Amino acid sequence: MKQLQASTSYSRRTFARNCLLCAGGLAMGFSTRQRTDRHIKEALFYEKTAHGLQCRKCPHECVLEEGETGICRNRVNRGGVMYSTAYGNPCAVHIDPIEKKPFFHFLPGTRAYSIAAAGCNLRCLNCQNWQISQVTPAETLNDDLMPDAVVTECIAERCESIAYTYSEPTTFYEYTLDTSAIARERKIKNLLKSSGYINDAPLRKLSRTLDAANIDLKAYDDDIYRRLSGARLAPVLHTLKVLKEEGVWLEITNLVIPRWTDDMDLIRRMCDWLASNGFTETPLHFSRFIPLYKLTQLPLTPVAVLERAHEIARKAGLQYVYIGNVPDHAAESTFCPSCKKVVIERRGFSIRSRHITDGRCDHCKQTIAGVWGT
Amino acid sequence: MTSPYRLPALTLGLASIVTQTILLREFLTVFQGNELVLGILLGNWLLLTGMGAALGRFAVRGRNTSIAGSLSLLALAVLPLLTIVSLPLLRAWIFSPGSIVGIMESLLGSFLLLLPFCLVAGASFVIWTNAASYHNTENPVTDVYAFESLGSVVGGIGFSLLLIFFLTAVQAALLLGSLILLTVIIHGRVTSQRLFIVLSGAGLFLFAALFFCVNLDLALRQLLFPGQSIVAYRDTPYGKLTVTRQEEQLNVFENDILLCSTGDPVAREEMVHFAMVQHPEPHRVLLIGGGLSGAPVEILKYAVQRVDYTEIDPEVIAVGRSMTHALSDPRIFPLVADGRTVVRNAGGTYDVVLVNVPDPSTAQLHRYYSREFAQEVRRALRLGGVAAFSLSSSGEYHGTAARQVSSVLYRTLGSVFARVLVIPGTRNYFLASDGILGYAVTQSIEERRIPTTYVNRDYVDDDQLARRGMQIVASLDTTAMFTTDFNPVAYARQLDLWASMVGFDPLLIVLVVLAGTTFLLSRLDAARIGMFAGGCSAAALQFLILLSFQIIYGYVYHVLGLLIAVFMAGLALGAWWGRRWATTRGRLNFAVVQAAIAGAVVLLVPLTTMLGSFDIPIIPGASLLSLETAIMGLLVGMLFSLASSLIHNTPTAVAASVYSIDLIGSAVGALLVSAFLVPAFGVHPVVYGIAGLMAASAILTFIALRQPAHTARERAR
Repeated sequence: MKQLQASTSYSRRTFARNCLLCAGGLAMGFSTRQRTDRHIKEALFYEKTAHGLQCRKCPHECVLEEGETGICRNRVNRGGVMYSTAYGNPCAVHIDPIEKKPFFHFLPGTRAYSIAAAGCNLRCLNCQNWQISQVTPAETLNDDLMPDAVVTECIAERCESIAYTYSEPTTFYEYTLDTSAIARERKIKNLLKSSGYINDAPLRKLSRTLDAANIDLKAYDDDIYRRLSGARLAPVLHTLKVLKEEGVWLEITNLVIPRWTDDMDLIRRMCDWLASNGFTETPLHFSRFIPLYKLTQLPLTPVAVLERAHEIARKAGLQYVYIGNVPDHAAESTFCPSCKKVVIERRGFSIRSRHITDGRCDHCKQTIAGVWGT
Repeated sequence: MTSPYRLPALTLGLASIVTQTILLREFLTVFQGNELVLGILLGNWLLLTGMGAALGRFAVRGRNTSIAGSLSLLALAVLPLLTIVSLPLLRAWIFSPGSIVGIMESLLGSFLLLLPFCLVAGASFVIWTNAASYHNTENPVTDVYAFESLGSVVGGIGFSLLLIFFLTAVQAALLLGSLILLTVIIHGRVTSQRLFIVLSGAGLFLFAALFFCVNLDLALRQLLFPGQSIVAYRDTPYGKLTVTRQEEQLNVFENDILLCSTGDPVAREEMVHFAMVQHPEPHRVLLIGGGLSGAPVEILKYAVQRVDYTEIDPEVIAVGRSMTHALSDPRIFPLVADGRTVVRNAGGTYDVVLVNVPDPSTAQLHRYYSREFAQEVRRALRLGGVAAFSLSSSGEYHGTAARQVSSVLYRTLGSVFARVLVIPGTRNYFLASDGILGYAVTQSIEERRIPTTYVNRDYVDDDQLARRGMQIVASLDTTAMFTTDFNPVAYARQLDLWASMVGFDPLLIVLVVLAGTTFLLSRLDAARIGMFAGGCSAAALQFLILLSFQIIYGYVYHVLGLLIAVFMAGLALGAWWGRRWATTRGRLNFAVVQAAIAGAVVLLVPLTTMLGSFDIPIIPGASLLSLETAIMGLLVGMLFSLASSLIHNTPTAVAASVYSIDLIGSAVGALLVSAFLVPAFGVHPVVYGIAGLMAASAILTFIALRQPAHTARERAR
């Protein structure tokens, strides 16, 4: 059941009320937020320090004094205990084609029960879902959906997987972890769509219940990472390696943003790093930028730029390279790296034809990396 | 022009008005302006000019300041151009590429960039007043004020009739600079200032070279769009239009916001097909905006007989013709007209009306979301006709602020049409009709055999559309208010959404302004409080008149200079007239004029109600609003003269004090009304509030009548 947890609208009445309150000196610390303790759970991966509680979940490693909230907007220090305020209260629950995430080599043509809670540890200027990522769970309209209920709903909707997506699932870490554990017991696959900005230990723990992950590799440049997203490059690269080591099926998305990440040298360096670190069989999705959130003074990425990036990646040795957000583009389909023939012909979220049997190309019997199902 | 300070004063007025009008557009483009940003800009402008006037008295210190005056004019000749050049440099080097500019950045950026021109302009007024006092003028303050206002009239009319249509911002700044340099030369000949004559002559030569030999506009535009080649650019009365090319893709920007790119089937197909499939046989279609995106091509996939495509800016259609062949199809009729006027005059003509305008992020755009417009659209539709509106998508989740905007639009449309359907896409489409609406979009596309790239079963799932559309509707606030022309609730909610996006609570600015105002007023006497209130009311009313004009007639920029000129003409006349009144019973007259201002302000309510209710053509409508503007100018001009006469000090000190208080009052009025009060309360309640403010100030003056005329505190000033 939806419950309105906050209202920050700026109606005539709230205007007048705020003026009165402010005039009375009460504006400081004023809040209309409500909290629901049911959706608060003690956080994992933190420790006490002389200056407060230090979160060890993501590379920001926030030190929180009493009452403070982390960069992710949902980990708080309350009474000397760190809590996650995003547990069992997703604000977005949808059913999506798995290709939308995108996963092209993992159970293609199936549907993913997709959930998100508010908060994110990044500050991307182009965030598509800024209305959930840049707010706290107390500011969103949330469902009451505990982990077991998520799995039950997923099964009821006849979805093959649960996708932790839209905002940043590693910020609602405990919810993701508990849900994925129950899902695994009930033979439901777990998909992570993430920025990959997470520390080693929590990632390895989560990897045990994950089946697939799609990580946004935003730019192969630390300075761009910092300015575009408020994060650093190295931890994301580490995440890619860990997921691979832990046996989680991995796909990578690179959003090509004009003036930010469309430099071909940058793309070449990224592809070279992926190739030299054993990611040649990892699908790489070059995604077209659409002006959103704060980046509205930029044009869409020209298709020719995406095609050039695609070519660079292929030349670097990456075997499965795709172009996303460009309807009806040939690079939506999967080609056999050996015989170059189409093995999955896609158009949008539809599988037009499929030429893979037991994970091998029907034409030349080459193994096509991925989890294909039956 | 017998007195040597009158031409400089006139030039000063001209320079201020032209520079203000040019820079406002440049700043609004770079800072992606809505009325909040406009309020910040105007507030900064007036505040800095007021500060300049206050500082001016220290610059003169009782000397004949003809040389300082010439120096200030030289600076004013150069500074508009330097500011225009600095703006894109700031954008390109300081702010994140392609990113919107936050409120604090707008505040600080505009403050720093406007600082040189405004300080010099403000000080120049005081300097020339001081110079005037050496020529045995009876009342130099009023004289300079009147000629400065006259200069504003000339500048405003010149801008409205000439500069805006034929010159770019850089060209206008160069022309203005040349006029100022000519003034310095003429003044230099009268006062034998040879050095200034030589400097100005050299400056004229340089400006002429820049005007005729260097394309500075293109170079500056290129700075804003690195990596893209500029195909075309136009400064039109409606905005700055830029077409860029990157690879094979053409991008059209209006005021630096992306209007559309070629090769984007998603946007154009959603915009057209979601609505078109709802009608069984769409023959007549009206497309308001969006013609460059390829939408006409999509519309022509149906058996339409005629498509009227309206753009208010003729340059958009001209650019469209050069970009696409679609507009040359004989069934497409491009109309250079205000879309709302076309709808109002249509009378049951159309099967489908596609309203493709950006979100109601400014008062101008809001007029395509108001209840009055929805009613006009309904009357423009045939039986069973469909209208499509849209708002930006909020991704997978409808946040609180976005939900409020949607709620207001949904409720507003629901109060006019029998059915409203929300279809989520890259934008959220609000379809409204008295006929049947449904989510079977791709099914209908298939049945009609419409060839599409994106809106088909491969990419769009009708069941998911229905599910998400109904989710959005279920989340909407059923008690949301309707949005109307003069109570723009949707615009206010959109402002909330924008504020949440840039991470700033606008209330903070209100608090700072109110605290500063309270502090200032506590230190002023009745005369200065009256001047403050007069300036505040005048700026607020000017904004409200411009806003009303925009709401009723759809555009404002090319009458902006004209309305300001009319105001300034009234101001000049009022200043001259008020000088006579000041001789006897000055205090009583001061109070009477304030009361008259309160009355004049209230006149706006019946005036705008009449213009909004009846289809009054633009010329008589603009004339009526100009008359209201002129009356207001006249009264404020009188107020200025009377306030000056009530303060007994040297002319320079009086000029510095009254002028700066007038401008600071204007800054407060402009900022509060444009950015907060109109969005929160609507136009008419704010009019009553301003009238109340003036009435209170008049009462204060009456009370002050009982006290001795010159208190020790006044003398100290």
